[in-house]
Amino acid sequence: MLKQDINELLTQTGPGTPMGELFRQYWLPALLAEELPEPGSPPVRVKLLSERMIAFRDDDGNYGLMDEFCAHRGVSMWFGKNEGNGLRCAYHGWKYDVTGQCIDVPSEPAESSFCEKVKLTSYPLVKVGDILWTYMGDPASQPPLPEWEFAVVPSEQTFTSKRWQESNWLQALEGGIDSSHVSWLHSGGLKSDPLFKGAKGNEYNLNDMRPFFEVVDAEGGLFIGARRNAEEGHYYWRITPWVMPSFTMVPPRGDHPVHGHLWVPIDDENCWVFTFDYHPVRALTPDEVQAMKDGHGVHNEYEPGSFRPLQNKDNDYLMDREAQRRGDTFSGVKGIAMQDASLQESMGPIVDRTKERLVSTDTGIIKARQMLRRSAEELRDNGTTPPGVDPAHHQVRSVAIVLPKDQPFIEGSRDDLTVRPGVRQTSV
Amino acid sequence: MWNPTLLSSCARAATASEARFRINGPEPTPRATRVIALDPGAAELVASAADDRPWHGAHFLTFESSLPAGDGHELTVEAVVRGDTTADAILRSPDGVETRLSDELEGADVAVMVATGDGNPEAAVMIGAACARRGIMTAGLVVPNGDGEARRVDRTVSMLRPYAMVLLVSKDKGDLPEVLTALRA
Repeated sequence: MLKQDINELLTQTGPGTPMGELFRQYWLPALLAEELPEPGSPPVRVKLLSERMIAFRDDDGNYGLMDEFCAHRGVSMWFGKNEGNGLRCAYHGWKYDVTGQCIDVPSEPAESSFCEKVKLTSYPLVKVGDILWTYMGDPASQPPLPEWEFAVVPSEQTFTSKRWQESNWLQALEGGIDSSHVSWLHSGGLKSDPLFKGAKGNEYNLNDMRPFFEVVDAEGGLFIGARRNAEEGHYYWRITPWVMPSFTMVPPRGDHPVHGHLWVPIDDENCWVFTFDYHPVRALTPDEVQAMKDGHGVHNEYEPGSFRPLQNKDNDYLMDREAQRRGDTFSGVKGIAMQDASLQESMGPIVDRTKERLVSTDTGIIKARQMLRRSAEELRDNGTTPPGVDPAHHQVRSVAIVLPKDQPFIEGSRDDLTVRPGVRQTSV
Repeated sequence: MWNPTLLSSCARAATASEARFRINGPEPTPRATRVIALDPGAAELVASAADDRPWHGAHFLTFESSLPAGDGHELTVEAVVRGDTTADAILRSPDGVETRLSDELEGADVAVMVATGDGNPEAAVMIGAACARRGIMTAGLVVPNGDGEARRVDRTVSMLRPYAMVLLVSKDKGDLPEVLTALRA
């Protein structure tokens, strides 16, 4: 349960809000690099943290992210023409470079310096891995670039997709932290999904439907361990890292690629879910990449030409009651991603947390909310840099491991929870 | 024949405007919560939490000592779970009132055990097993005191692990009231 004012603090991320300022301390995924594949690509509309922007690449390949609307009459630069060293407004021809600086106002005399006085708000846009990242905070406080392992391994070892989720970012993130729903909602996929099946750990999952949980502080956020019974005297642990504000990783299965998410607010009622799959030491196979493109694992299918999932609220998520009755899927909705999204969207755009009835197994969620709130308040009141900004906090991995019953998971997997270049993930 | 679908008859009802029509039920009832400190360091945390804000009936207690059964049975988890022993424990509230574990667990929904690096294994066994027997949810909060040796904290966590369905290990002394508030204690 949260009080209304705290629910609002955590869910509102527009300019000037405490949580919005918190998000503006981090490099955030803005769009996929494939959306601006080459110099001179058509501009792309981007909305993040309730700010509408336009992304484009000039003919030299430089990336730009700036206010969507022309300073002249406020029309969208999406209609603009990408030419040479900038983007030219379709209305009266005003032209801007990738920094948002106006470089041509055709109606002014050729010698006029008027355009030098016109600049749109802009943010840096940098490619790391498959993602174009932006930093929307104070330039003086711009942190080093992100160093998430999935983004820095060679390109043949990683795959990223994104989807639009029609809910506030926090209820989407909370699904990534909430390990207790996995045994129910996702119980159908372990035997059949090409990106999960065959792992020994799946047997432990399916044989023990009542996991116990442990939540431990980490430098950048939390480690959330779910343990199930394994062989005599041992537990099977699945350990999920959460790094502030919105990075989560799913514990691996066998030698399958490892996956995770970054949950990014579009506005207060929508978010982007960036979903990655990577292998620390080998290239993804063509079959694995195809399975990801086909929407298996934690990815999804799309409405053609969009990032909206094919299964969405307009078609009741293609609910299949027969599959639900047979037990192929627990909720009748196909695929891990849309099983989560369908339920999280059903809560409403911003769930009323004053009415919820949390139980002890929601402790990970309780603790994450507390860390987010405190970090936002510390930033607002004292200017304290929040956890997760330092790239050292990005050096985390998820883990699936069998440990003796008396061994704390944090001690038994300390090295495994840290990125070790050239060393495969710890998985069962 | 085409049948129109009302907005409220499909998944599209998950809009902000449709959220206005969710039934506004009564305030959820608080959970009967027992917060029990297992060691002196935890007793300070629990006493502080008790004064932190108004609670909805949560009881704040400290484990004092076990009361050996007069039935000759050894105090083991199995014996307590099976109900083979009449072993009990003495608890004390922050204002000094003495009470019995068995009485406190009558009607309880959840027991939150709180420990620091000085955790008390006997207390964890007694409370955890007594809760298991009664079907009461258990949770554990470990707050290392001071710089607390990692090994001592690990021992405390291992001690609590069998008896707590959820364990939170945190350096933040403010976690206890936060968790209890979220649980409507």
